[in-house]
Amino acid sequence: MTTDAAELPRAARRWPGRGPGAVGNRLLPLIVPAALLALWAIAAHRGWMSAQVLPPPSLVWETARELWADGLLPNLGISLRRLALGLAGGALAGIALGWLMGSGRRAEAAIYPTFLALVQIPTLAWIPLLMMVFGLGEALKIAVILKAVATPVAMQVHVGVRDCDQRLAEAATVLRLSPWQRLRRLTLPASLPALMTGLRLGLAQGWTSLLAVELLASAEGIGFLVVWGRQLFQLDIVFVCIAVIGLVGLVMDRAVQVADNALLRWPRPATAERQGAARRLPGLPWIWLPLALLGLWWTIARVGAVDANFLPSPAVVLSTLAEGLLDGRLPAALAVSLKRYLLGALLGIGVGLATGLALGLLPVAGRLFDGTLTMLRLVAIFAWLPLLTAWTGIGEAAKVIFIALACFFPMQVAVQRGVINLPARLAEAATVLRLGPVQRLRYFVLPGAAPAIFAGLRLALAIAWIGTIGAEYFMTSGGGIGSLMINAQQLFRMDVVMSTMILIGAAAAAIGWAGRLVEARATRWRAA
Amino acid sequence: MSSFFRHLLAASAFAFGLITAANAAGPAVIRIGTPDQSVGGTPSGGIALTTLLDVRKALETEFEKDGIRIEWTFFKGAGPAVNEALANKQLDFVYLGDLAAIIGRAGGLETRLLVPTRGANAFLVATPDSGIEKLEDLKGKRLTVFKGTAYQLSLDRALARVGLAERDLQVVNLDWNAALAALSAKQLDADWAGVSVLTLREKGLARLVTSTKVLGRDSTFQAGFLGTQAFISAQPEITQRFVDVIVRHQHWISQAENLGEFFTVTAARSGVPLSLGQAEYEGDDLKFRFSPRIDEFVIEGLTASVAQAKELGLIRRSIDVKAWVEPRFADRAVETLGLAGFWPLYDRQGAPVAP
Repeated sequence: MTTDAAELPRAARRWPGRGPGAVGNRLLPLIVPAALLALWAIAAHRGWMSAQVLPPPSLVWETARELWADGLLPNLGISLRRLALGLAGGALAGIALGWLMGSGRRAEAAIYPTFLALVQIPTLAWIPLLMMVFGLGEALKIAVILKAVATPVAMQVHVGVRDCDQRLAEAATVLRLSPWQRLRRLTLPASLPALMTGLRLGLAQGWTSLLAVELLASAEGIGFLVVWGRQLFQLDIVFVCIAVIGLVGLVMDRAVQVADNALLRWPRPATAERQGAARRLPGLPWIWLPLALLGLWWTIARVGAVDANFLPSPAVVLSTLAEGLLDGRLPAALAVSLKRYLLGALLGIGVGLATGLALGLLPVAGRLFDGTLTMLRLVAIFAWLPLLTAWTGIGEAAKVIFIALACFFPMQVAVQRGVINLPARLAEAATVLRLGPVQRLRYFVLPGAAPAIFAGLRLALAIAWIGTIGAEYFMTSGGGIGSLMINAQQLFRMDVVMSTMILIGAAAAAIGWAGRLVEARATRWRAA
Repeated sequence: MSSFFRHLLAASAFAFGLITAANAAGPAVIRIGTPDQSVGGTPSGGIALTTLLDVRKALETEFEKDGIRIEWTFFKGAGPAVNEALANKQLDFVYLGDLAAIIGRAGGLETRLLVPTRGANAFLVATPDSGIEKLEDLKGKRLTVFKGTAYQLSLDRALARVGLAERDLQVVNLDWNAALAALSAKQLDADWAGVSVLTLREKGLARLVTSTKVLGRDSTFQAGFLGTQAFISAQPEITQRFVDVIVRHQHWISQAENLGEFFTVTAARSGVPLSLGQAEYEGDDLKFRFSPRIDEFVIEGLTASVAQAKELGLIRRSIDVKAWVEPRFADRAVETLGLAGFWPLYDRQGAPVAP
């Protein structure tokens, strides 16, 4: 394949006015932050909101200066070190897993459902087991970040490898490339766009999970400062950290983007054909991995390697699960969470899709909002909770919006990048065919960006689950499966915790499976 | 045309009348917030006064005739989330532990302490092989406490009794659930926390070393109902009736013969095992625990906590406790309910001084 300029229109399209005399364009990304800053100042000045929840910019500036003198940088350094280690490990683990799942349909069928179920069980539930394995030190924190990073990376790489151009794959087979050559010449470059998207999402996930991590036995780090500031009702500290997290995150995100632009020399995967996803493998290939894990668990419990309070035997957990299912407690809690989840996911994914399309298709809008959205995305929603409850109240609506926010960003990023990465030749074809805006969207943009959109959708669905549990953990109580799990943790009832984990994982896998059916239907045209 | 205007005028006068009448009669809803302490499916304040009020629908019954709804909100995010909701003007009354209330007030929230409860216990548990037999043994050990909560102050007070401070130990900051897991995983030697930590004792994962029941009343911590100044000023009568209901129930629990029923009712709602409720209250003087009177013990205790919080850097500015407490409503409730003399006043050490 060629690597001629026609295949690389992105840089040109994303920065439409770059070049001499484009000062206005360069200032474009600053407009939205400036407007938000002005709005903040006015709101604080007019007293639209309580000064505790929305401290005036002057106080935040004052606090920033105090913190600067009082170790803001060392704290940031500690967090960055944790992030770097987690990111490196997470990227490697994610690439390996994603590659494994994407390289063959058999592997995909065997691993993907279990992977999907496991990653959507909230980290919170894993903490006791993680503590047992990793202790309370740095290893624990890095393990949590690693998991957060590996998830989106694996999801994206999985798709990238799987949807690698079939004709190229055939060519590689005909050329009898060795496995190494095949990896180097075909698989790696072909999955690079997906990997880069995965890295950006992983960076965001890792960066935001710092908060959860530094809540655990830490007295330092930027995430700790956020948690501590909130604990002490000094939200000006939280605001300083939001600014720092957003700015540093923005720089890192831009770095990934620069690497992305420099590295990508490959046709877009959008139009790649693939073998029918709808064609099913015989039998139940996915069942073996859960069975193996169950066997491992049973053996550990049986040998008594771990205290039964910590890791109850599968039999105990299953009987707790059955009991909870039969007396209606678990199904009722699951129903509450599912309703919340569906509403939030629908809202977040819908708005994310629309925003991603708009920003991808309208370069000016993209320039206007890109930086701001990136910054917002990289600050954990937890930090926004006080403002969120101020605006949305303390009821059910607040939880739904929390979930929507959690899944808005992965969707928006994936869609926007999918649209930007559309092959230039198809864009030309669409222009030549004089497609109207609606037709263009329908026949060119949406189908072309479908793989990216669905990759975003899958991640959004997974993150919405985590958001659902998070909403039940951090906000007011309104029942739900996450609430049930946390309550059981209060009494260290690991059997109840694990039975909710199984249920959460199963529900997540079921939703993921439904999403795959939709995806298979929507991308049927790509089947060879 | 003119008749239309007359009608309009009449209608708006009527509407205006309705609005002012509604204002005079009281709010449409009273919003109460408190940390969620439940472990079952239904949110609640745990084995506590709030759960009793909630289950009995005591406030609902009192205000039903005025058409005023009662809205309970239980916050998983505990003290910080309650303070944020107060700042956002989403609550009228809250039930909070002392440090969270102090932090809110020091942060500029216009709250008043209306009715105290006191003597909430903290427990020190240690892993079986930690070698910790008494408070003094904590020196150099790894102990966890949820920093920035009332338990941190209570720990520091207890440590001070034996000449120790946080810096003599390796103190690790963990929330309640993570602390249980860390102790069970033997990553720590000891945990200073509320009664739910005894769940580890029942599982044989930890031993009870000591508690504030043994260490004395000055290492316990206090809690109470706070009202927003805005609500109290706008609705003094409603506030009085609200406090009356609480004091009536405090009187009920202060009588030992009702304790069994209190446990049954609150344990059923909150899912907290009965044994934990018993461990928290048994042997305690119930009159002390549920006295609604703002006496020297409350004022001096809170003043000491404020000073402690300031010293630890948990609050930026000190607060004047005397200007914060508002004993008027509780005193009046005690009087009108004919309970004068039922609860003694307690001095700063928690000894009864006068009827």
